[in-house]
Amino acid sequence: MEFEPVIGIEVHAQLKTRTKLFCGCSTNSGEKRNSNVCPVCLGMPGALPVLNKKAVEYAVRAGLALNCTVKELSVFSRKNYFYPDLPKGYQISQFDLPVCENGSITIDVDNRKKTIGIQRIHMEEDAGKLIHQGSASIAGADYSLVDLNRACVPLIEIVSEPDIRSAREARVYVEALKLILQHTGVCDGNLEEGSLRADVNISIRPLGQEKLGTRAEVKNLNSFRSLERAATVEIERQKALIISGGKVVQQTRNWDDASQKTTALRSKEEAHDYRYFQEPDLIPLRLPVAMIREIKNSMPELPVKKMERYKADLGLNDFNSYQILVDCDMNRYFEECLLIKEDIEPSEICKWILGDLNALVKDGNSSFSECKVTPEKLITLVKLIKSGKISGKIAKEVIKKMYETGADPENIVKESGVEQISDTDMLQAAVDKVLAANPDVVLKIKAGKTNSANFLMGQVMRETRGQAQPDLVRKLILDTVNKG
Amino acid sequence: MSLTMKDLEQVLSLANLDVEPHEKEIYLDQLTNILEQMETLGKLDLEGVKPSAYACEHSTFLREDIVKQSAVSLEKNAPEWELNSFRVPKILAD
Repeated sequence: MEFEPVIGIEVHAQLKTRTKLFCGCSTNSGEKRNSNVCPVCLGMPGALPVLNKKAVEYAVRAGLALNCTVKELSVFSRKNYFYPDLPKGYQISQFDLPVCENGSITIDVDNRKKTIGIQRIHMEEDAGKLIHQGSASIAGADYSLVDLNRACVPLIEIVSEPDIRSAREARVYVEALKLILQHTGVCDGNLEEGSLRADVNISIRPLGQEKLGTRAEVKNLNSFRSLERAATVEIERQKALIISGGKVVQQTRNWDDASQKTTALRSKEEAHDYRYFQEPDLIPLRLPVAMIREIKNSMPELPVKKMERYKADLGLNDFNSYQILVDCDMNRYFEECLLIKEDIEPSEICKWILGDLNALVKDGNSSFSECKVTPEKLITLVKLIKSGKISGKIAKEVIKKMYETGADPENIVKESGVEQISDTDMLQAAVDKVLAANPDVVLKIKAGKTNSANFLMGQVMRETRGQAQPDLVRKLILDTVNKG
Repeated sequence: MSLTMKDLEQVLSLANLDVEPHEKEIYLDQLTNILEQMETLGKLDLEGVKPSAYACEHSTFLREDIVKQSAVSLEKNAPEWELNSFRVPKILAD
């Protein structure tokens, strides 16, 4: 029997606000445990939540970027359950009236376009963090410690329609979401650090059957690779189960990267009753049309549009225009270069950023926003190559020094004397020397094998410690051989 | 709409509340009364009336995204405190 997977994904994205969703505590989680807390996020009696304007703006921005209808009226509700990381005994979330609905994005799955529906986007607060003691996981722990720095940090939950049909599509969908959220400045989009979390709901059904199968939800996906892998493994598990006569039960499953398996976490058979009711401490959120319009007008360029522009206007190829987009910091750097590039080809700038500079930044565990090679300095370097002052090969050395010291490329070139030799008399001496040492090669060139000049060029470059201008050397070799 | 003892027990268990059997009878009675009161609404002609969960038509107040440090004495509020954290008992049963 052939099966068709049906996948829907819930993505939790942490909004890049300075303060929490309902109080003025900092969202900085790197600080001392329980240092960014107050009566509101601790759930102390009598403390009242006040909604963060920026979080609302970001939620709306995400909704617009994902082609959703932004609701003029939305309501916060209490989702009631008990867990040690939830100080109030309920989470303030949105339930029946979320802020955005009915969106979609079109993804490109191995050169095939596919539209995935977005059911809804709602705002909610995050829970605290548990640090289990006595064991790495909750299962064997003796007791646990609670850090509430993360409690009440603003999230949006983006719920897709069950439109996804393969593990590959699932990965591409979340990658596309990440890119959109990053480029709209809404979320860091870091799966590894948990500022973006994806829960994947998977069921399978016989191909051609309308009715959906029972689904399992897979959690703990810390990278795009594990997301794709976990979905593949879970689809196969369900297939094997059904073929052997078993039944899929509705449950939450945990992905374990080490064993490459999903295991049951908790059964959802007795459906959770969260006793949702409207949050009495917050009156409904009414978004003025003018505010929605203002956010719409201030939307940054979306990644899909940007990629089209790079291809059409800048002449970048598919691969490079995507690569220069995926790292937001790097993309911002590239855009800054474009503003001051004058007559330098964008593809040339792109090449240096994606190549040498990216390698240096990665090796140094740094980022483009902290990079000592400013866009101005990189452009100066490319200009030096273009004008023939230095060779591409030397430039690779120069950019290393620039990265280390932050010095101007012109100064580095002057001080280290690596300026390209374009003085014909000086080069002619080197050419003559090399020709005299290689009479056999000279004969070959005379016989029409001009490719052999490459060997001699290499020798001249060595003679001049790589500083000779290659085109000029080639011309001098051929001219000298032909004259002689 | 009537509330059964089973409904009440379900709500009590979800809310982690322990209630003596004789108290359950009292609560069931009181809750049933409240629900009956609400049924008055069913007698009204509400055709075309917008549902309103809140009495006021204003929007919720929006706060600017500015950090305000709060000084709370956490240790005094925690039954058990360890490594700047609230200490809680084992979460999963053996």
